[in-house]
Amino acid sequence: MIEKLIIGSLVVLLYFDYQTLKQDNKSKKIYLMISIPAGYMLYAYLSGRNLPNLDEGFQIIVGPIAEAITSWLQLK
Amino acid sequence: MHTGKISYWQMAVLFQVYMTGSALINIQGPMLAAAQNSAWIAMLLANLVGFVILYLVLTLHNEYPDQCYVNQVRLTLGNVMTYLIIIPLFLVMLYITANIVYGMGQYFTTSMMRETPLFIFHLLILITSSLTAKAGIEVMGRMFHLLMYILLFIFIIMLILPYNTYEITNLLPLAPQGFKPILHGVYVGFGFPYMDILFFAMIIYLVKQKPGQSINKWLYLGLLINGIVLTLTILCSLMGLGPLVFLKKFPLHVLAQLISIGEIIERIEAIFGIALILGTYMKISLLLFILDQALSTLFKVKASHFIYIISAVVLLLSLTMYKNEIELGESGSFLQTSVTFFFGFLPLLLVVIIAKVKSKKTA
Repeated sequence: MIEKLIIGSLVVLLYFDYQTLKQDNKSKKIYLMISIPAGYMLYAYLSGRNLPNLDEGFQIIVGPIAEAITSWLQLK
Repeated sequence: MHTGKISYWQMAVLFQVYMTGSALINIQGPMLAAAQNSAWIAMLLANLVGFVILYLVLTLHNEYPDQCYVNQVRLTLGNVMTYLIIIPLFLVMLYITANIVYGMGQYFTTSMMRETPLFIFHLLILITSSLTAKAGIEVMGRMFHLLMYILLFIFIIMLILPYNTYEITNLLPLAPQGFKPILHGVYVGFGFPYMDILFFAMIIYLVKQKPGQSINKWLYLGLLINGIVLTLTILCSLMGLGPLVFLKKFPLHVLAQLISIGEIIERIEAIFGIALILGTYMKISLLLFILDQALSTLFKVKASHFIYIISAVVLLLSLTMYKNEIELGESGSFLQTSVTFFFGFLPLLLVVIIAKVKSKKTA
């Protein structure tokens, strides 16, 4: 419960931080753009679901190469 | 782009705390697991690779001394390529920052404060670091100066006090399984901490240029000191703990537990915790500043606007990316090097080569 309260107050603080951008529309757009993945992760965290994340994304892209290199290095 | 300016010495201090900060605590475990008894040789070789990365970064800095890495890429490859290179690099930096935060949190939840929830550590360090990053490079340059001395003092104390446990024979056999484990250690060291040098390229331009002087020698010297410090921590861990060292995630913590001088100075691992917080705090502050710098320069907007939202993203990433410390360990020593190589090192090499060709053509 305390955890959710703290995270809730953080979201409010971020809203105030967003408001300080005032007329800077370009910055506002970028701020919102970053907030989308933040919202996604917040949902994943609060719901306790194991959703795809950045680490898994990198695993898909470079995982096979990393695996090939490390398994070669670990060969005696 | 940020506009504050700092002196050569302050930049050298920032570089030192940035490179040594969290690595002082986190590198021994993965390095010893990969290279076993020859981990200290692997550390020195990885440091040598670090010199290559720093050389590339400084070559680019000398071509465009008043620009950060984002603008250096823009001036060399054009706008579209800049987006293609910097957005993945931005994600890599987020990933590494989250890894460092998680590393600190898991140290506390596994060895010192087991009942406290992980997110408390992540939250507190990110709030403090984001406020520091928001204060700007000049404040960090002044503040980290003192903190670096404290960190180095703790480091010296931690290595000198357990002197009675050191057995030089524990270093032998040097490389019982051949050269491959050493290469494995270099592979680990390349991803963390030495590829982080590239991220530092975002802020090197903030140094106050003086005619006839260069930042290059300061940074090379800083990197050399970093290599010596990290190698010493591995050597002392090996000599102090023997074969036990390969089973420990934080060998320096165990080494601190062994300190016993006249039954007065005992169990000083809490000081190790202080060093860990200090190092991680300084590194994360600089990384948040660098992330904001990359984003604001990429989209050509005013700097310092995004530090808090980036901190929130890092917090949530660190809380959701891994289910346990084993996953973090696998990611850090297995995936991080390949990720930084493909999204950081290769583009850097390309940019340096093209920048050199361009400058030769215009000369």
